[in-house]
Amino acid sequence: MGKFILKRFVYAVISLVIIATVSFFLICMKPGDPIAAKVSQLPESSRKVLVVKYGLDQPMFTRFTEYMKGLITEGNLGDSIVYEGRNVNMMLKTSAVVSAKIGLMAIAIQVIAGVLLGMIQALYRGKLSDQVIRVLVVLAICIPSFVFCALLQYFIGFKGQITPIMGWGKPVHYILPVAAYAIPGIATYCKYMRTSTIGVLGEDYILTATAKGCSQTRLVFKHIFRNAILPVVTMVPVAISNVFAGSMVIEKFFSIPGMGQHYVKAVSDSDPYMILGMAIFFACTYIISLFFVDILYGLVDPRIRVAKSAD
Amino acid sequence: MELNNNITFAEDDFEVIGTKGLDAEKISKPSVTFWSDVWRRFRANKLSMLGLVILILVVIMVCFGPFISGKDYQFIDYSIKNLRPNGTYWFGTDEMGRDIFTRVCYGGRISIIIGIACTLVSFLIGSSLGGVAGYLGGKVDDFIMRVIEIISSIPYLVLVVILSFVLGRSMFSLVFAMTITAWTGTARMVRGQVMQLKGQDFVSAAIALGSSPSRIIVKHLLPNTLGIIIVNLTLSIPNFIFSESFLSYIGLGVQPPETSWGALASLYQTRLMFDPYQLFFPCLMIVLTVLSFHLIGDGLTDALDPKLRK
Repeated sequence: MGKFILKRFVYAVISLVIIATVSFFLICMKPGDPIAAKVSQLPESSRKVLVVKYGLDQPMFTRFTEYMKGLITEGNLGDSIVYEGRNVNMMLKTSAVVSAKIGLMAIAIQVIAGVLLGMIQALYRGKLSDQVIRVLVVLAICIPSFVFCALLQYFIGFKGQITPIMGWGKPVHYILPVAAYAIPGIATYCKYMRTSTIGVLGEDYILTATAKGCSQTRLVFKHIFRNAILPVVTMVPVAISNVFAGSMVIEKFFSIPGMGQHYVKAVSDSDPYMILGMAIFFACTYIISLFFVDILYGLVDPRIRVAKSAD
Repeated sequence: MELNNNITFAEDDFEVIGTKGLDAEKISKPSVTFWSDVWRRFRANKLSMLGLVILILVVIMVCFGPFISGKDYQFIDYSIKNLRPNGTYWFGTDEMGRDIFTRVCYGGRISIIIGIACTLVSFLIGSSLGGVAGYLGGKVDDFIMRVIEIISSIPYLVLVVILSFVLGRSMFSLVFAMTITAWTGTARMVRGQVMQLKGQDFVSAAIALGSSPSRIIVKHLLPNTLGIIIVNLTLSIPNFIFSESFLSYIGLGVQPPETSWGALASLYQTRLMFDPYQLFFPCLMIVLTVLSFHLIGDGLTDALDPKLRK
């Protein structure tokens, strides 16, 4: 097991280094001057100062080593070129919490609702409730998230006057974005849970439990639920790592000061180091969660552990 | 009860009747090819046929809509701005007086073309690399799988956003940005299939007859994975349409005056409170198209899988 964890860890680090390198050179190769808009009104001497300050006079490779040095020794993800005195770390401190709050709440709703609906579908397979949920699931998967945002905003915020249509700060502001974030995920979890529960229902130990006179409630909670939820649980860590990058559309729509909105803004501002720093942060959270999922799989499922140690 | 032992049987009592003139060895049903069998099973699935009909209608509308409406999608006329849907402007007009029906048709062309182009590119790269990795195994397989592992450990949207930021906003760069990571899924799937098929007898027979590896991959392995690949294709087109609409929505997609469903939705979202019909039509088209592909994909899964035959 130790060898397996070490191997996974080395892969994770290699992926991260490759991603940081490739994104750095990609972003720096973009044609055009990143400070052009800022310095167009300034005299030549001030322009020179800025060019030196951001290291734009250096060759790309020197800038790369400088950046990596700052990243590894100080954890500095990069400074904004467009806005004076703003950097990625500062921005992360304020906005990551916002994105995380919305995302985690939405994921909690997704898992609970998805698992419940999926179980209902599987236990009443072929009945009316199964058909109705199935249609809803297909619809939820086929509708892009900005359409959900629009529908919620129009009917609940605007027509219904139940919640404010956008903004941030009060608890009531959470309702629409969390709902918009949660709906597509509920459908996905529901689909997986249905398949997994149907698989469990066909197993011999369910037959055994029924045969020995297990009560219906006990059967569902002790035998079916416990086994069916496993594949669903392993999807959660990756979903959690996606909360930072996954809500770009929703944050933009409801003008929430989260990471997604800052990322979109950095792109429209053409702010290279902001994009780079945030991309590295996103990739980092994603890779770390993949690493944990791999280990989790190894711990939960003995078959994988055996297969891994064999090769 | 008394048994009657006096029954006598005649010779012709045991004759099979009703089979005169029939040839038991003759195949009465005309032989059916695999694809017509698939089509027969697909046709029996009402939901999937509904999906196919919706898709055909959407494609017809997108192709011929602008000719039917007879309007230009870029023509600006402020005197007719923000008109509700009516007899002349079927989907109404937008803030600049442009006909939304014509714009939705033009946008649909771009969205659907991008969806299909991305799918084809990622399918070509994915199935050839996956096929090679699965067939050759060993070092080549290790290397390709490592590359796939690294590529797929980057969050998809983050990479797409970086690439379309770097490459600019042409249609080519959009397709490139979206396919660069998407082929890994196809490659994994094809590899798995090929590895499974590789050990089967018909492949051993082909090897014994002296076929070259490329011939075995192209002639024997790929056709046998075709079913799963086709299902995968139909389900990946809507995903690309989704990604494109997402990119256009955050301002990284196609650039004006070109437009797509996502770009239209992004543009009309600002008028949501006053003229919700403007946002409604592009969204409706996205939903209908994606839904039809999902329904067709579900039907094909059932139709192509011999195990599900009734």
